Amino acid sequence: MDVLSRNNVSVSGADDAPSMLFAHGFGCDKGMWRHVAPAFEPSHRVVLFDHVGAGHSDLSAYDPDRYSSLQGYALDAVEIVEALDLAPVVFVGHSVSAMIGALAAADRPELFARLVLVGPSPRYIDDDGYRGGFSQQEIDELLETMDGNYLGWSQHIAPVIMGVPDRPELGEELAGSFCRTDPAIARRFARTTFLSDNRSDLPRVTTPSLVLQCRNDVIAPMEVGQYVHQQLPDSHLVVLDATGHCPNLSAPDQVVEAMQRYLAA
Amino acid sequence: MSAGWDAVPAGLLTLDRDGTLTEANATFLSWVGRPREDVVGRVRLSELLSVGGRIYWETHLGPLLLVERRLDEVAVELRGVDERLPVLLTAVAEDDGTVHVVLSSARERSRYERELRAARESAERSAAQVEALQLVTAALSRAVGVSAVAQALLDAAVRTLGASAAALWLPDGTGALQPHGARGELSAELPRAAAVLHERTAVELDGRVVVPLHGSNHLRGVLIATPRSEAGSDPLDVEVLTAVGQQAGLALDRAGLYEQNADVARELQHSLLAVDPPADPRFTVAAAYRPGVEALEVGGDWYDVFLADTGLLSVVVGDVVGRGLGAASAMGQLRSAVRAVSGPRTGPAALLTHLDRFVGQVEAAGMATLAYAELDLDSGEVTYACAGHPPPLLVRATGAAALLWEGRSTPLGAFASPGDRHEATLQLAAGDRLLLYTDGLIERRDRSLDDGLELLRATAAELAGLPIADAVRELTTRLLQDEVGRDDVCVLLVGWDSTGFERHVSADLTGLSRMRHDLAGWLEDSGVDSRTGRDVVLATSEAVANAAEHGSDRSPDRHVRVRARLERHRGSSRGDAGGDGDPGSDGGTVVVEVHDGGRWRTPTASPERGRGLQIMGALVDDVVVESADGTTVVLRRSLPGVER
Amino acid sequence: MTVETVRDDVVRVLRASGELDAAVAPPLLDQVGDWVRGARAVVLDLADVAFFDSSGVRLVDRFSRECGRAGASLRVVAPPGGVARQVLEIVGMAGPLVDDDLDAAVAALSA
Repeated sequence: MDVLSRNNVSVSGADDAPSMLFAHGFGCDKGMWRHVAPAFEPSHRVVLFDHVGAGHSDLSAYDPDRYSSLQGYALDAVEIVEALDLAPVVFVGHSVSAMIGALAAADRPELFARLVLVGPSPRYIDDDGYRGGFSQQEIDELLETMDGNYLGWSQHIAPVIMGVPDRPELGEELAGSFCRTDPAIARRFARTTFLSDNRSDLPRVTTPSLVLQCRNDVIAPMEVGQYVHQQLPDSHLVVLDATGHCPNLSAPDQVVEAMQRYLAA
Repeated sequence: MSAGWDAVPAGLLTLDRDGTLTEANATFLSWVGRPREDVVGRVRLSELLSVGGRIYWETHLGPLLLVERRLDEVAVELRGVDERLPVLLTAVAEDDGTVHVVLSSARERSRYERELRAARESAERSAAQVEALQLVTAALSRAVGVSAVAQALLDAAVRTLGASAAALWLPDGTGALQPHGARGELSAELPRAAAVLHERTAVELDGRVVVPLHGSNHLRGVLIATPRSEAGSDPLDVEVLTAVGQQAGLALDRAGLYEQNADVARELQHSLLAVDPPADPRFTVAAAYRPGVEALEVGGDWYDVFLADTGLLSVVVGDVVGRGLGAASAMGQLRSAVRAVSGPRTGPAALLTHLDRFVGQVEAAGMATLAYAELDLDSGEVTYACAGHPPPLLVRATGAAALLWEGRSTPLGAFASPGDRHEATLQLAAGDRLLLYTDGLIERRDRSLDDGLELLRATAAELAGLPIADAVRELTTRLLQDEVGRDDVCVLLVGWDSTGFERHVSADLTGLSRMRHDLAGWLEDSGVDSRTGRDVVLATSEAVANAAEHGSDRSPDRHVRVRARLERHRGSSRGDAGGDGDPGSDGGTVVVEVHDGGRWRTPTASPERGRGLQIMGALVDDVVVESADGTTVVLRRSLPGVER
Repeated sequence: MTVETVRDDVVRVLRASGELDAAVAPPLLDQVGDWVRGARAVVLDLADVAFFDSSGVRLVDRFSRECGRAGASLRVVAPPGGVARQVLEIVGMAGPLVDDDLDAAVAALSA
C-alpha cells in the first residue's frame, strides 16, 4: 500500500528546508490547515495529509482493528515521515492528532524535532481527580448525533458547491468535499478518540512541545491544556484569545504567530 | 425587529463571528426557555445545543460554516427547559462573519428518522450476526474429530467473532473440564460458579464472556472469550456467542460420536487385517496395508492368505465399496466367506460364483471386487480369477514382469451368472512371484490407468531380486511417493520357493554324506526336533543308497534327486477339511521324496536290501514306492507338536 | 570312516569313527579279513561312529563271518541312544552281539 496515496499526502513549500507535517483532528480533513499551512511554505517543506477515512484518503485502507486505537494513527504518521524522509520533522497536530503526534514522538523520538499541539486532550471523559470535560453518557450522545446526521449528512458531502459566489477560488480547491467522511468510519474514529486514555503516555514525550490552548474551548477545556503542559517533560503553553475548538480556522493568525515565535526560539 | 420575525414558527437567529447570539426571535427563546437578556449577546449557539450537538458543532459544523459559509438541514438538538428539542438547522455566513440561522422543529421527523435508523441498525446488526454465525458454523461442520472442532472454534472466536483472546475447556473421561487450547494471551480460569456453566446462553462475567457449549445431553465444553481492549473496538456480541455455543455443542456431540465410531471401525479393521499366514518353506509371503491419505474412516481394502488344502495356498486381495463400520463389517464377512468356500475341489471360478450368491445376502458387500489365486505348493501351478479387480502381476525370478489379464469377470454380485465366472492357470518356476493389490496403488486422478499399471510393472520387475518382505516395502514406498489424494492401498506378494529342500546326489554316492548334513540342517531350520530329524535323515540316506544301487547302478553319471517338505496342518473348523490329523489339533508331516530314473524292482532276497527297507520302515510312518518316470520313494514321518 | 586298532593283546579292539554309509562301506568290507586275522577276541567299537545304516549292518555282518571263520569271538560296542545301536536294534542284531561299552565287551569276552 502506497502510504502517500493512502493518506492523500500533499507536499509544498521550500525544498531544502526543515519539514513540517500537519495532522488534522477529529472532524473534517487537512483542509482545516488552509489558513495556517501557507504561512510556513517559505520557510519549511510543508506536508499535509488526511487520516484514513477522512477527506480524500483511501477508504479501502481502513482497518477497524488497526484504527481502534490511536496507535494505529500514530503508526501512519511515522510511516509518512519515513516515506518522505521528513525527519527530524515539526509535527503540528490538532485536537486528537495532538495525542497521535505525542504517541508517535514517544515511540520514535529521533523522527521528531518539535511538536505543536493545538487543543490537545489525553482523555475526554472525566475520571477520579481528572476533568476531561465529558461523561460517558455525553459521548454516547455525540455518537447518536452523528448517527442522526448520517441520514442528512449526504447532503453535506455531495460534491457540489452551492452558492459561494464570493469565493470562486474555493470551487476548484474544495469540490464541495470539505468535511467529507465515511459515516461508519467517522463513528469509529469518534469512539476511538473519545474513549481513549493516553494520560500515561505524556511523560514519555521527550520532544520539545508547544501547547496552544483556546481560552474558550468546550472540547479541550483550559484545565486539560494545563494538565497536558504539566505532564509533558519539555513544553510551552500559549493561551490563544480565541473561542471554540478550531483556532486553526477561526483564529489562524494567532496560531501562526505563536508557532513562529516558538520555532524561532 | 418586526412582529413578523417573532411570529415565524421557526427559530431565527443571528450570530457574530464567534458564534455568540446577537439576535433571536421569540419562537427560539420559547424553545430554549430563556429570556432574551439571558441569551442575546451572552451565549454562543453551541452552548444551547445538547452535548453531542455541541461537540459536533465544534468539530464539524463550525469549521464547515467557516469554510463553506453554509450549513444545510443539519439535525441537532436544542436544550430546552425539560427536554431536548430536535431541530433542523440551516445557516449562511456573510463576509464579515455574521451568520444567519433558521431552525425548524423536527420532532416528528426526528421520531420517524429515529425509528428508521433503529430498524436499519437492527437489520445491519442481524445481517452481521448471521454472517458471523454462518462463517463459524461452516468452519465447525468442516472439522472432523474433537480436536479439529476445538481448533475451529478457537480460531473463529478470535478471527470472526472479534475476541482478542479465547480459551476452551473440554471434559475429560471423568467429566471434569480440562483446558484444551487457547488463542491470544489469556489468564482466564474456569469460573467457579457452576451455575454459570448451566446457563443456556453466553454470560458476561468479569469483563469476559463465558460461553457454555451444550450438546444434546451433556455440557460438551466451555469457551471463554475476552473482548478487545482498544478504545474504538466493538464489544463481544453475546447473542452471537450464544448461538455459536449451541452450534459448537452440537458439533462436539458429532465429533465425539465420530471418534467413537472411527475407533471401533479401526479396531475392527485391524483385527480383520491381522492375518497370520501359514508358514511353509515352499512359499514366502509379505503384505502391506496403507490407509488412504485423506480418509479418516476405515476403508474397504483387505487381504488374506491361508491354506485351502494341504499343499494348496490361497491368496486373495479385495476391495469392498464404501468406508466406515459398514464396509469393515462387509469386509470381514467376505473374508470369512472366501475361507469357508475355498477348497481343493472348488477352484477360483466356482469360488466367485459362491460369492455372488453370498453378496446377494450381504448388501454392503455388493459390487466388491477381488483377485483370488490358488498356488499348488508342490507343483507351482497357479489358478486365478479376477472379479472386477486390477489384474495380478506375475514377477518371474528372472526379473520379467507381466500383468495377468485372463480369468477376468465382473465385480461380485454384478448380475453375474455362473457361466460368467472364469479362471486361468499358469505355471510358476521356483523363485517366481505373484503380486495382488488394490487400485489405490495405481490409480491417480492426474494419471491414466495404463500409465499406473506400467509403472507398477516396471517397478516390480526392478525389485525382483529383493527378498519378498523388502520388495513389498520398497514397491509400496515407490508407488506411493505422491501421497496426494489417494485411496487405501493393499499389497500382497507371494513367492513360490518350490520344494523347500532339493538335492541331487550323484549315484556313486560321493555326495551322500553332504546331502545328509544339508537335510539335517534343513530339518532343524524347519523346526523339526533332533530325534525325528535323525530318523528322517537316516531313512532318507537309506533310500538314496538303495536308489543309487538299484536304480542307477551307482553310476556317477546318474543322479538321485532328494526332495523334502514339511506339511503343516492347522486345526481347522472347515467341515470339508481333507487333511490329516484330528480336526482341532496342529501338527506336521515331513515328506521326503527320493527319485531316480531307474525302475526300482521289488527287492530280491538280499539281506542288505531287506534291512534297508526294514530300517526305513522302522523310522518313518509310511514308505510308498511310486513308479512313474523312474522310481520315487516317498517317506512320510509325522511330527509331534511342530512349532509354528 | 576309519578303523583303528587301539589295543591288541588278549583282546583286539578296533575302533571305528566317522560316518559309515553305503558310500564308504564297500572298501571297508574287503578289509575286514585283515583286521580280524590272528586275533582270538575282537571288539568292534562303534561308539564314535556318527552315522550308521544298513551298510553298517553289513559291515558288522562281515565281521561276524570273518571272526567265525578265524575262530575269534566278537563283541560290538554300541552305546544306547547312539546311531549304531538304534539301527542294530531295528534289524534285531543288538541282543547277541552288542554291549553298552568297552569294559562290558571286554568282560564278556573274558567270560
